Amino acid sequence: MILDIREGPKPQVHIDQERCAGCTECLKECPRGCLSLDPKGWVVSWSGKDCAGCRSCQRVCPYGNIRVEGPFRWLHGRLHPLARDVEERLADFHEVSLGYTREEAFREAHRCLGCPRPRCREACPAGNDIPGFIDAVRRHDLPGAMAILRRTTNLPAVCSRVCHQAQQCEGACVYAREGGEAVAIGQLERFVADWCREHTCGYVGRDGRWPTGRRAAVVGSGPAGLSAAEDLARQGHAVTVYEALPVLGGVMAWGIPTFILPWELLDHKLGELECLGVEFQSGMRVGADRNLEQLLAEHDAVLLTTGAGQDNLLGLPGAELAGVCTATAFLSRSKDCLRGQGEHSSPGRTLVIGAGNTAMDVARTARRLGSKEIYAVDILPEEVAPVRRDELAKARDEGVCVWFSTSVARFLPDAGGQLGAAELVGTKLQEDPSGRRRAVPVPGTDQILPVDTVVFAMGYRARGDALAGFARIVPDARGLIPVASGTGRTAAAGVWAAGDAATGPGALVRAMVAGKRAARDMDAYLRGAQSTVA
Amino acid sequence: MLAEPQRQPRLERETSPPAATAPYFAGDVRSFELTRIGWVARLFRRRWFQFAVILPNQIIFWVALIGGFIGTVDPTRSFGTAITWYFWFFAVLAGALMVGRVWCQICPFGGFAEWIQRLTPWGRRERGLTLNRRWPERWAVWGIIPGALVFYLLTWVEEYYNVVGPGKPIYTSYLIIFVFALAIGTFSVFGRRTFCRYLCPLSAPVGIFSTVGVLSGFRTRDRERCMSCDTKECMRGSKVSYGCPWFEFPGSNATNQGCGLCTECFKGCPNDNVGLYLQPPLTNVHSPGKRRWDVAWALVLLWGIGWYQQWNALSWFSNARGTGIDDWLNRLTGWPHYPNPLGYLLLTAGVAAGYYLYSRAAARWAGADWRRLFTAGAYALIPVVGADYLARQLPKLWDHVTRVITTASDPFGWGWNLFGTARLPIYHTRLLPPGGVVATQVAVMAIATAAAGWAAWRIWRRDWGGERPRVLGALALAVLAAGVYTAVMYVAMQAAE
Repeated sequence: MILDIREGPKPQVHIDQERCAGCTECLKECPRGCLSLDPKGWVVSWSGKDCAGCRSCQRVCPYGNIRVEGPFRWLHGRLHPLARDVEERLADFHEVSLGYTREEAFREAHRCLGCPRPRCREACPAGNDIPGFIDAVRRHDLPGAMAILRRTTNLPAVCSRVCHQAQQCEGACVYAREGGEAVAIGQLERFVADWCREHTCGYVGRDGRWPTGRRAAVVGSGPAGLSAAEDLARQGHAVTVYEALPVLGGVMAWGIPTFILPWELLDHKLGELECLGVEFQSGMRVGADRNLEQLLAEHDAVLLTTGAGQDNLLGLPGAELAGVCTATAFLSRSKDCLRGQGEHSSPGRTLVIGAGNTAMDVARTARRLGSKEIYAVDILPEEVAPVRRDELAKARDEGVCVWFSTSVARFLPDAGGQLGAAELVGTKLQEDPSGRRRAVPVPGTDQILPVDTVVFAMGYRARGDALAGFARIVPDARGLIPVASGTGRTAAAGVWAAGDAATGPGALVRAMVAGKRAARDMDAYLRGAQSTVA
Repeated sequence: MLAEPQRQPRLERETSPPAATAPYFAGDVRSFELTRIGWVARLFRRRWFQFAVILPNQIIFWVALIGGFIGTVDPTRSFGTAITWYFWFFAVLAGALMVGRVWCQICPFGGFAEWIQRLTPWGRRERGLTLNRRWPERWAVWGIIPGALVFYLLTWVEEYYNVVGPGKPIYTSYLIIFVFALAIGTFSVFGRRTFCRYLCPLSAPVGIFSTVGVLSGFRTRDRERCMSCDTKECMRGSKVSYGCPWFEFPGSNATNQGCGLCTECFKGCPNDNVGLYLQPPLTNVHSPGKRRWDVAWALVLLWGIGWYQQWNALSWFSNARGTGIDDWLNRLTGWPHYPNPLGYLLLTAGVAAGYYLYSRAAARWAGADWRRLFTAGAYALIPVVGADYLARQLPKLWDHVTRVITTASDPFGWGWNLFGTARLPIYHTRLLPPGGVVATQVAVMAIATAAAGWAAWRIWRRDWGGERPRVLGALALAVLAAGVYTAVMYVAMQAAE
């Protein structure tokens, strides 16, 4: 039941009339229209009729002249969608969260106050019109909500599942800023994307553009590549996507487990692109099978979105032992076997080095592959570890033992020369002479942990191998492709780069946004340039 | 049979303020923007600008302060006494009445405390030496009245110790130390220029009298653009500027009373949408954005102080024979000597009560709301009261200002001759004869009364829409009576001397 906001104790807003300068910042911020400018005195006055007590006016007043007392009148608490039981979800690789029902989405959408100056939108890397699409949900106009999302995002189904909303849109929500639970923006976005996919209103057209006759190549099929390919195709350009791996989708295909991002979402997106006329060539590694010069000869523009797929490793004693692998290898092998390509036996006692989101994915995948003892260790304390709190909670629910402030000293072989154990050591944060806080080992905290498999999940770095044989672009020291900010243009004419390949490992949504920006600049270039392709 | 006499129909009473009190912005009047002049704009954009204009004053007042302690005890030879009471106070008042809050731009008290608060003389720092508290709302509702009360208190202290008289130079130093200490203490506890806005003893008279002046303060060029600005760097500050230290907003600033001319908003506006304007004199007397009751009461308080200082120059108030009113009150209350605080309190309160009763009676007669008439009348009186303060400084200026030149070369009375002016034969030079002095005083009052009358007419037109002519009559009578009374009193004071 939706509660009437007029029930219960009412908040009181006190405005210091003497100091109110009439700048109207509070008026612009108030989601309920409770403030007005008195034209006689040029000061703001408050009418408490619909005031939610959200404190937006208090926060925004440049001179701190507004004081709000009384409760923030919630409609109701955040609705958490149902999730499958732990026992049930450990038995397969199906998605854990079930998402909102239509009724739940409608109720949750009513929590949104529709802030006139939406901080959630400012905090969204894609700039999604969040109050706009939630308002459409509230009006039961789900195709309209999808249309609003599509203005700024190509991957709503993916971003809604993968984005760290607590640090982005939901972190900026007025509820969260008041210490409450933010509107479930991610879940609502997921509901809209899933509903539209299931109700066949998901495929996008060419925006009425005629084919331009220009050819564009996109190297890499990750979030940046797919979003750029879609935007270019919608503008009427002929787009070919080159993917080094046999499976399309980049990190969405090999790096994110299906219990977070089901196959069908990616398949639907790829099908959508094919309908737009995008061609895909998988298993073709640019830089090895074909170099960039050849691609440039065949296309008017080339976009490099090769990602950052190289695992970071620690040069620890024993790291060469059989049983030590990387997150990329582990996750891609597990997904291969899900597709019926190869087998993946139980990894046994598993130690995951790192406690970020990838490490949680590895640990939870290992659990589903039959491992009974899974440990994840991170050198940092829990409060500063870069992991989504909800993913950490799910991993712990599933029996993953996560130890923070713990590092690995070395790996020890067993009698057969295989990996047998890992030596762990506790750490603490300590300032070095330059003032930076670093984790240092704590003497006397060593312990030996018997393990069968060790997976390095300590982040990624760029490979930079797409530029092999192409001298006009020189990668920087980190292997990143230097680009112009905002457009993704490289030093070579006709070549763009976007996503992790240009900026280093980052959030998926930022790669998507970079791909869109590059596509916009490429479109302008392609429309202005004469085709050089025979 | 005699017909029953017809009663004069009573005027319909006001029930709500008219819409005529609408905002009044610089853009609404013909004005000239000073910051359109290239070198002025370039100068104002420099962070060191305000430091540069404060520094000379800072040096002068520190010399005056130190001179009281280590210099001569002869006030006629003291640079501190000469610069403070023969020139400075006149210049502050003249600057306010003719220009605006220029004193606040170069004030050494607020300037010095602000350097400490910001921990930099002109740079931009995020953190400073202040608790950054807010002036409590229950105090803020009193507006500038606390500052007027500090001025009221200091005036009595000045009379008690005969600081201006001239008294001992060290008393001038104590006065300067008090203002410095009050400023530094307030800046350390409260954020920005809370001291200047609420507590500074000079801010009340300077702020009120500056409404007569021609400098409108910093205001927006395009108000719509200003209101749509999301960053409000003029209020919040930016990398190159502090947020308005005076808690003003150029987008809604419709009076020069609160703008301290610090140039921070001009430096910080990302849209280059702030300018400094010239306006016709008296604009902010007759057409401020809103009329403030605290300004009205502070003006009445200042007026009462003016009355007191005129009365105390007359022999029937205080004399050497001990037969004056003040002497009688001292005997009654056991107070040691002039000035009796009860007399000070009663006379100033009497002026306020008299004006209050006049407003009530005039409002009843004119069928107007007495609060509006009280406030509007006080605004109309600003030129008269301001001119009264200025005229009172004229005898000191004409008779003794030359001493500033001579004592500047020998600030401590130690026999120095730093600039070669110490022994100039101008020490006893009077710029005007006694008759000329009173003539200038009367002339100043005459001009001010005429200006106040014109302002009263504009106020009546703006606030009452040209209706209720009795309101105009009440306002005009008040300013005329005040102006004539003050001018007559100056003649009487001259006669008493």
